[in-house]
Amino acid sequence: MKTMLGSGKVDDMTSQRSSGSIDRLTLWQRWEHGLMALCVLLLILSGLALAYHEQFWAQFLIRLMGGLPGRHLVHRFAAVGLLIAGLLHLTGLLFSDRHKRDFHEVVPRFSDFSQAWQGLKFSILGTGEAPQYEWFTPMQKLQYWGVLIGCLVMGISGSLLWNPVVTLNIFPKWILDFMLVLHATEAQFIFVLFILWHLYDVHVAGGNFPMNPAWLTGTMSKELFARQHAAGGGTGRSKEDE
Amino acid sequence: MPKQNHNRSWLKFHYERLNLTPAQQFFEYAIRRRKALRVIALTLAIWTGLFASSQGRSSVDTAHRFSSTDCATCHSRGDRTVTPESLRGSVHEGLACTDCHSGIEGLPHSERLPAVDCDSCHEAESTAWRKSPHAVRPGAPACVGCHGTHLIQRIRGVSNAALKLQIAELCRRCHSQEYAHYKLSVHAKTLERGYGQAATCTDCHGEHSIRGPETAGSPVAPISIAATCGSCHADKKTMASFGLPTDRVSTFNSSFHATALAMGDPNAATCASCHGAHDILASADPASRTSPANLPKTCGRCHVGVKQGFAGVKIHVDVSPTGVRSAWYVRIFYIAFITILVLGFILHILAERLGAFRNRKAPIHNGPHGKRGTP
Repeated sequence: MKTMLGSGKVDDMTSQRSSGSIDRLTLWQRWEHGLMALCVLLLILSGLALAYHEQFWAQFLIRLMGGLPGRHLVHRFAAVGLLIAGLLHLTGLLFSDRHKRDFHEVVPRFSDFSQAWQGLKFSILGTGEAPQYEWFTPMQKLQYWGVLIGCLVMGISGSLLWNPVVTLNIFPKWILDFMLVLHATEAQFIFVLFILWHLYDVHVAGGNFPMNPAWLTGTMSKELFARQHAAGGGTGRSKEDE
Repeated sequence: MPKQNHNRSWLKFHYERLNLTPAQQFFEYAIRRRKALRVIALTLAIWTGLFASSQGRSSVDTAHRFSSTDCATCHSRGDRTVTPESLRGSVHEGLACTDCHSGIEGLPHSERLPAVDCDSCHEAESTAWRKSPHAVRPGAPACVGCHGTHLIQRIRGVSNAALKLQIAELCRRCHSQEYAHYKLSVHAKTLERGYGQAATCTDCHGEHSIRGPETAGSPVAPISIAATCGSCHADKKTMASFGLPTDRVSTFNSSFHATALAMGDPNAATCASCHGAHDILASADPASRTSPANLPKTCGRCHVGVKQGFAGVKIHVDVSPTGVRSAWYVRIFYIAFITILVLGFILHILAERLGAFRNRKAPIHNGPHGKRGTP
C-alpha cells in the first residue's frame, strides 16, 4: 500500500533531480488511470453503439457485445468499474501525502489563465517568452477537472437512466428525458475532450510520440518534462519554491 | 469489278488473320452488311405480328360466339337470375358474360364450367393473394369471397366511410372476434361518423396480400407497424382534419423502444404493444390502454414495478422548445460547447505544432523565473 501510494515525502522530487527521470505517477495512480481508461473506453464504445445504432459500425459493436442485452451489461459493468476507479482516487487522496500534494498542484490558479494565454501567444504569434508551467500544465488541469465533472454528470445521469421505472416512480418524466439528452451529449463532449484531445496530448504533442511513458512506468525523462513544463528544466513543483 | 475483288480478298485475308471459324466469319460479314440484317429483322417482325393478330382474332371469335343476350335466354329465369343488366354500375359494366365465363362450347352449355379466372386480367392482385394466408387455408376467401360476383365495385382510392365499414363486415364473416374488438375502436367509430380517413381492416393488413402480424413482411409485423400507422398518423393532411399530432411515429422512432425493436429484440414495444391492435381507443377515453389511469398497467406489462406515479406521463415527447424544453436547452448548450471545444482543439494542435517548430529553431534558454528555470 505504502509503495503503491508513493513514499509521501515532500522532498521526494528533489532527490530525483540528480537522476535522469522525473517521478510522475505512483503505482496507485497508474492503476487508477488504467482502470479508468479501460472503463471509459468500454463505456464510450458501448454507449456510442447505442446512440448510433443505425450505423453499421455500431451494429457490429453491438453484435460483438452479444446483442443489446450484452451491450447493456458491458455498459453497466464498465460504469461500476469507473465508480471503483473514483473510489481508488478518493482513497489515494485520503491516505497519501504525495496524492494530496498532487491534488494541491492541480487546483486551478489565475496564473494558469495568464500562462495559457502566454503559451498561445508564444506558439502562434511567436511573441514573448515560453511559459514556465508547474507540475501540471493548464491543459492537464483542465483535463483533470473535466474528467471529474464529466464523471459526476455521467454518473448522476447514468444512475437515473439505469432503471427508468424506478426513476419514473420517483421523478417526473421530463427528468428522464433531460437525463437521456444530457448523458448522450456529455458523452460526445467527453469523446472529443478525453479521447481525441487527451490522446493527442500524450501521444503526439510536446515530443511525446509515440507516447509519454508515465502512464506505464510512472516516470518520464527530465528532458521531456522540461520541454513540456519549464523550458529551463526543473521539476516544476510549486511547493519547492516556497 | 477489280475494286470489289480487292475488297473480298481483303476480307478473306482479314478473317484468316483473325483465325475465325466459318460461323464467326458469317456474323462478321453480316455485321458489315447491316442493311441485310435489317431486312431480315423487319420480315421476322411482320411475320410475328401477323401470326399474333390472327391468333387474337380467332380467340375473340370463339369467346364472342355467344352474346350476353344468348345467356339471358336461360339465366333471366329462376332463382339465379343474371342478365346483362346485372353488371350495370359494376367495374365490369360493358363486359360480355363470356369474357369471364369460359369453356362454353355450345348452348345449352355443360352443367359445370371452369371456375372464373380473374388472373387473366388482374394478374398482380391474384399473385399477391396467392402469397397470402387466405390462399393456403381451406375455406378462406378467394377473389369472389370478398369482391362478390357480378356487382363488383371500385373501392380503391376512395375514402368512403360506408364502403370501408363494409370491408370490415366482410372480414367479420370469419374474423368475428377481431371485428367485435374493431367495432369498439376509435377507427370504427370515426368511420361510423362518416369520416372515411379512418382505418379499416385492409388499411393496416393490406389488401390482396393480407397478412397477420406473425408473417414476415406483413404491414402489421412488429418491425413494420410504426410505418403502417405512420401512413396516416404521420400524414399532416389526414391528422389536421382530426386535430391529431403528426409526431407519434417520429417520437417513437427516437425512443429506446424503437432502438430495441430495430436491434431485433422480440419483446420490444411497438405501437400495438401499448395502444392495442383492433380495439385502439383515444387516450382521452378512460377505457383506453393509454389513458392516464391505465398507463401504469399498460407499461407494467413489460416494466416490473411500475407505480401509480406513471399516471400522466407523456410518452411521445420530442426534444424541442415545445417538447421537453429542458432537454432542448441542454442539447443547444452542448452543441455550442462541443463546437467551441472542437475549435479549441484545432487551435491547440496548431499552437502545439507551431510551438514545436519554434522550439526547434530557438535554443532552449533559461527562463526568467529565477531558481525554477535553472537546472
